[in-house]
Amino acid sequence: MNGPRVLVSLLLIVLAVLVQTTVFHSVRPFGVSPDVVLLVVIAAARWAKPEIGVLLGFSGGLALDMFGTAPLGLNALAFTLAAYMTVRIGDRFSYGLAFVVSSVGVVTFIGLATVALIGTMFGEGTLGSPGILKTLLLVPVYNMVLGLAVLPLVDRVAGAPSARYVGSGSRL
Amino acid sequence: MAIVLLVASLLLMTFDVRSSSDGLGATFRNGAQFVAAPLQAGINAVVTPVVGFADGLANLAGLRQENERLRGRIAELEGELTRVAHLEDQVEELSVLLGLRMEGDLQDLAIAAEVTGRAGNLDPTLFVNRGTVDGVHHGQPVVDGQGALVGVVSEAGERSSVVTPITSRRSAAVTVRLADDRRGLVEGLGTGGLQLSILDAETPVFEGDLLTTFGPFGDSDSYPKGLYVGTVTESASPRSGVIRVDVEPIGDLDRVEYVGILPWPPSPDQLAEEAARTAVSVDATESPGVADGESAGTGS
Repeated sequence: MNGPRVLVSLLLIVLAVLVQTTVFHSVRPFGVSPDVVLLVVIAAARWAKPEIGVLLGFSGGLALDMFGTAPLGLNALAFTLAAYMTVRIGDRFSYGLAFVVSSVGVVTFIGLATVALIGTMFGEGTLGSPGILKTLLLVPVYNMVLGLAVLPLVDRVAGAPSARYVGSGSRL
Repeated sequence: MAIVLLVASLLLMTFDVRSSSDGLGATFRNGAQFVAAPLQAGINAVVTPVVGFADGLANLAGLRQENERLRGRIAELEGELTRVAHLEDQVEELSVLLGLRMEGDLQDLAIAAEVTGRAGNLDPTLFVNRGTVDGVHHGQPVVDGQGALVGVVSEAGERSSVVTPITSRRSAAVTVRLADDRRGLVEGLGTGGLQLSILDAETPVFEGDLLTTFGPFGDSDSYPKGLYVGTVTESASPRSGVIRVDVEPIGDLDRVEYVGILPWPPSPDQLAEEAARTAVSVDATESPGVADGESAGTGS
């Protein structure tokens, strides 16, 4: 991942933060919205070198932290972890559509669970709050669906190589 | 690299949690708000009408049912209105005599604001489009259209502010009054819930009991008196003199779109102004008696 591509990825993350805090304030099916910032981090980290990938995750989380009242660094930690996982399985993103979609769901779930767990340890009480299970289950599903559009879009805008799936021949 | 960033995140969190409300974290957040507020406003200007139209279409059937239900409710309330009207007159008269600041006065003075965003699924923080130039300051209570307490202004930027909902663990506990005038403390449980604690409890609380803000008490004057906070979700009896029970907030934080920011606590200028107004009201109440006395004296 070269310099301009990193820069474009960072800009997309900033855009995702703005969209997350505005558009998805009013679009909340069943009281929950997709986590677009995490989705863009996953999309950008797929093709990045490990150092760049985790740095993108950290930046995305920190940017989101700036817009909340949770401890500064909470999302940064969770998104760094999510980006690290994405980087580790990055070369398998060409295995097929099912793998990509399920990977997005799993990484999203782990990212959110980390926010909930670490947040609870830091006194936020997130794990004990009503509706936490719904949030932990629905957000990954939303991200899986939204990922079908966002992942190719990020690839195109950031100039990353799109995946060609083994066997299916379809692209994402 | 990943380990360095994870450690950096943990250090940041520790530092932020231990720092005061006007520490480095607050400075970063204010800066981010200052930069992002115009962009968020721009996005909202484009997106809100589209979302509103789509939402309206999606809820068309539901709106018809809601309309019927509301018609019934209006008829019911009109009946109650007559009964309540004379009580309101009495309360108003008494409140002037006692020099109390009533909730209605504050609601009239409230700064109307639009909720322009929220932090995320696991962070109930709200953003509103009013800031210090509109008279918004740190610590002011925020209510919804029904007068129910939604949260407190935690950071006030020039043209936008951050509201920490009462359901957040970061929000300060609210001293509440129960229907039988008992006092309790309501604290946020995280995203969505509240918990009532009553120390030295002797009698139980019951499902549906309404909790309102207690008003200035001791050193605390964070909230004015009489704002709706929530309802008790289940009956509970004291255990070793303590009651802890869940409370459902009255303000719907998931759907709130417009809020009022209350000018509370009053500034010293406002207090002086109010004291002068109360003095005038008391004079006006006393003056007929004085006049009567004067006329009686003249007559004799």
